[in-house]
Amino acid sequence: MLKKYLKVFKISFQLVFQYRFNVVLQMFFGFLPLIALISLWHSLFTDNNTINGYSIEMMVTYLIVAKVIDTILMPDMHWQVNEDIKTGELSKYLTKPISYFSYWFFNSLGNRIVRILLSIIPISIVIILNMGYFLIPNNFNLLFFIISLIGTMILYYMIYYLVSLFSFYFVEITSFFFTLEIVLELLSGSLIPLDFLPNALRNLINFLPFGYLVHFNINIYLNRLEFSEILYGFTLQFFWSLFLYVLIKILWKKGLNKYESVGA
Amino acid sequence: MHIIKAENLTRNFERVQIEEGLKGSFKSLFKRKKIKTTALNNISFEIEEGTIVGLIGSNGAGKSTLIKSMVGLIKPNFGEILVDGYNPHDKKKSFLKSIGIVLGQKNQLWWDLSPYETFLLHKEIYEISDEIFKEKLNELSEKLDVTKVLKSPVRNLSLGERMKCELIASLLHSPKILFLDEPTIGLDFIAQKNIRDFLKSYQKEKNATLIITSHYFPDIYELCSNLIILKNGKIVFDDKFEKIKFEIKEYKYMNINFSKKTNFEDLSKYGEIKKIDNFSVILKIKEDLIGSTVSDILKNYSILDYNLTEMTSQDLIEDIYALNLIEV
Repeated sequence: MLKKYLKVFKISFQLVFQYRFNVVLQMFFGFLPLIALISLWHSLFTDNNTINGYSIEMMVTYLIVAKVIDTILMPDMHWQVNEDIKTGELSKYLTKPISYFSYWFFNSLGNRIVRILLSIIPISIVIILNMGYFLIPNNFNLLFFIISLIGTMILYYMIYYLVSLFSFYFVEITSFFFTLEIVLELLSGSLIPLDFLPNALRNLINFLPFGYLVHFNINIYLNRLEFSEILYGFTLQFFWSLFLYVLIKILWKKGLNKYESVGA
Repeated sequence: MHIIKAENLTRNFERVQIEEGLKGSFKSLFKRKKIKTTALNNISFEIEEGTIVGLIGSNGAGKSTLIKSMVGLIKPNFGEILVDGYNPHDKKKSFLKSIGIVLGQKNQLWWDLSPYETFLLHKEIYEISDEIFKEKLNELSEKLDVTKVLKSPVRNLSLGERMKCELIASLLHSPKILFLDEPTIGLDFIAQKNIRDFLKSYQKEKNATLIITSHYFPDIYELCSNLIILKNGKIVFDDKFEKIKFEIKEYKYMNINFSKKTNFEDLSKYGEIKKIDNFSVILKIKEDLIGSTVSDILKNYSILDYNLTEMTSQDLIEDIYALNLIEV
């Protein structure tokens, strides 16, 4: 049963390596804006020791880890899902005993592994350049941090897969994707820590899934959370994933009733 | 035994109309004009196990919609369809394992990987054991003569090789029912014939049921034991092919370019003249007279060049209508 998805996982490996140069280039230049961001924070921190509870070391670490999470865990399969539905390419999956959802999940998983391998060099460079400022967590927090990343990966996948299913209903949904990216950048905390947002918004975000994609994880990493807060975060990651999965199931079923399998 | 059974199948599509002009575009911002078309109009039919059924009809007659309903890709608005006892749209695993699909205009092979990689994925998807996989793959690739190309990237294969590999990918799990939508499109005569012969022997060996749409007349003529003819979403003929086959004459089109203007009317003694231009003529010639006619024309006229084209299933339909073989 799992063997078929293991094969999908392996194939995604082979496929990415066909375009390895493309991916490497994308990653290297993806880290460039980070240099500007870090210098910006350096200049902001000249007078103060901490801003909103963050020291300059925490802030630099925050920015680097946020960038790493985005680079490695942000899905990119939604473009392909959109394409499959729009062009009728989806048909070749529907007529086989394989789950489309799981297919892309394992494909995506393979991609994440490749991304980890390919980003080791640029990440090391960034960390070396910020040597005096980059913090290392204790073992306990590191363990929770890694677990939280698994939650992030699943939650990310659910969000993007759900939005890509809108392709059943709208011909052109790239603007949805871009909107989602902008909203996520702000609300996940990958641009700035969520502590910097206005309080009212902050309280709302606590219940939304987005903050548990990046902000939550880095706060574990930086040892800023109590054990109970970590547990609360895991619970939210879990229930949001579950909730989105239910929505996916519903949308998928309705979408298939509407699907016209265009092309051939 | 009926392996496929459809009752009162109806499927409508809504098409958005694009209105012309600025005013039209502005109007469509608020209200879009939709036109309802009926692709399948209350059709019922049955297909026996172990038959090869040709599904023919003009463009837009509903062939694709019907195939897509049978494999569960689209859901009919009304009516019921059972394939091997399953409702296709439920996409039950055991149903999906018993069908195979070849779409000539779509590929399931990975462009950047070798066909062999796709076969390995299919092995896992269909849960085929190692021995059976090896045996099947050997058998199919030898029969279709593609053993040498199995490990080259698909992008480097010729169209014929790719089509044959597509066929292998769809047959590794030995489906009981095989749906083929234009399986020979774009292939040369020899490759077309190879695939036809192969399909014939596959059907015989497995007592499989094949449902075929094809633009090429020989695909239909040589393979199919039964015909379903669709017109405007309705079935106008559903019976054994042999009932009308003897009335159908096989012929070819001869497309001739003359080097000087001649009295083309004389050519009508060889066959029906389908089209005349200044220097070219298209003649419809009976299959068994091709050889003598070509040599005759070459001898008596000064000709620049000529080519022969096969008749299409569209011609077949037109003949059937013209001969009043069925009531429409």
